[in-house]
Amino acid sequence: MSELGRRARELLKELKSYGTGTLSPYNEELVRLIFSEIDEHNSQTEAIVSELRRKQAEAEAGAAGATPQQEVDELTATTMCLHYECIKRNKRLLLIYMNERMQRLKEMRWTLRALPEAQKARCCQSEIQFYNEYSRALQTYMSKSEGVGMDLTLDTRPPKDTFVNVRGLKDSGEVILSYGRATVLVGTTISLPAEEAEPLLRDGTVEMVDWDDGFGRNCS
Amino acid sequence: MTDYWNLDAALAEETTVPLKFKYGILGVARVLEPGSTNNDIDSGTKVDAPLWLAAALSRRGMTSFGAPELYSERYRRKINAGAECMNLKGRAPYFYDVGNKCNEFMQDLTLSAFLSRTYATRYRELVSKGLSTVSGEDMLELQSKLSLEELSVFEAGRDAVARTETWARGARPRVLAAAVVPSRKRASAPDDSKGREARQRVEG
Repeated sequence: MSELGRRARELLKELKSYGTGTLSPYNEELVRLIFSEIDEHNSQTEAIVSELRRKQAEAEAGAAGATPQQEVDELTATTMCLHYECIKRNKRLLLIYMNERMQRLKEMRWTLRALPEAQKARCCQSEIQFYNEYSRALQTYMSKSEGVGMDLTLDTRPPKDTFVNVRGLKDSGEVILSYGRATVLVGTTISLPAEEAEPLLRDGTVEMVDWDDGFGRNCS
Repeated sequence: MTDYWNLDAALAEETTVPLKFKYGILGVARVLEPGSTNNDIDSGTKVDAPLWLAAALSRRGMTSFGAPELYSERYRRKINAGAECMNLKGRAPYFYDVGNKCNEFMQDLTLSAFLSRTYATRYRELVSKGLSTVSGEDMLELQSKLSLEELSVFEAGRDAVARTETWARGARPRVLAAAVVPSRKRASAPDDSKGREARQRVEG
């Protein structure tokens, strides 16, 4: 006999212990055990129901004139409710498990833009498939030809300023910006629009410089 | 019912409560009571069951249940004497959730008064004082004491304090780096590593 959803609780605790930014390894063994637990509850319920049907049929056959017995005694009702609640509980916990993992995968797509290898190894097959499809859908939505034509993952919260200060990390000569040209040398600091700084930051040509509010007080 | 999809809400409902059967139950006694020799539970028997089961069966009028021992008169006196000394994380990580949930069925006004009083005291003594203490050791001790609900309030408060300090120093939050680095990393990384974070982001 099962154990009142204790396995499902272990499953959620495991996921919780990994923190919000990472996934726990997909616990296929435990999920399978929970499924068999649900099956067990189901078969017990069915056993009770068929027993009731049999009794009912007997009563009808025995006394055709008497009113058929519809009443279920409280004891059986409680037992059935217990099995039913256990099934519902297990279902809820499993759904939470799946949903939570799905949310974390989505979060990774938005913040990290890719699924890190370490996390990928912890996903099950269908989760990887979900991630790929989600990623593709987002890509299509952001593309110029079919969607909005903007990289929506750039600013997950509104930028405070349209310009950022960057410092050159390698000599890459002149870059053409929307408002003119600038020469990127090691150590030179230039101010440029945030969306134009993004590709340079990504390929490592420049690095971000702390904000300066003009009074010499830098953000520490 | 609290939010169906909430992980913490689901875990809070795993707390065991004393459950009393009105009619008894068939065939599952060994699960509910591991030491039981009988297969069935007679009517009027008390067992320890998780809160979700107790709530679901009691809603149908098949059982009745009381609050866990931590909410009993004895513990209430203890907590009233010094709410801030109680280590809730170890004893009842979901102290307020479970208390409120039980109260839905018990409708005990003294229990709700007790819960809000406990929270008020602990908020004043632990959470708001904790925001101004700086010693790491104190912080650890504090965090090991707070229940999970209090801990999230505390974390939010600490984040707000950090933001206020940044603002007071006249600095603005970083646009790109802050937006991309996950919040967990940002919270743990020391301030002077921001440049490095930005570079990590670039590589990633």
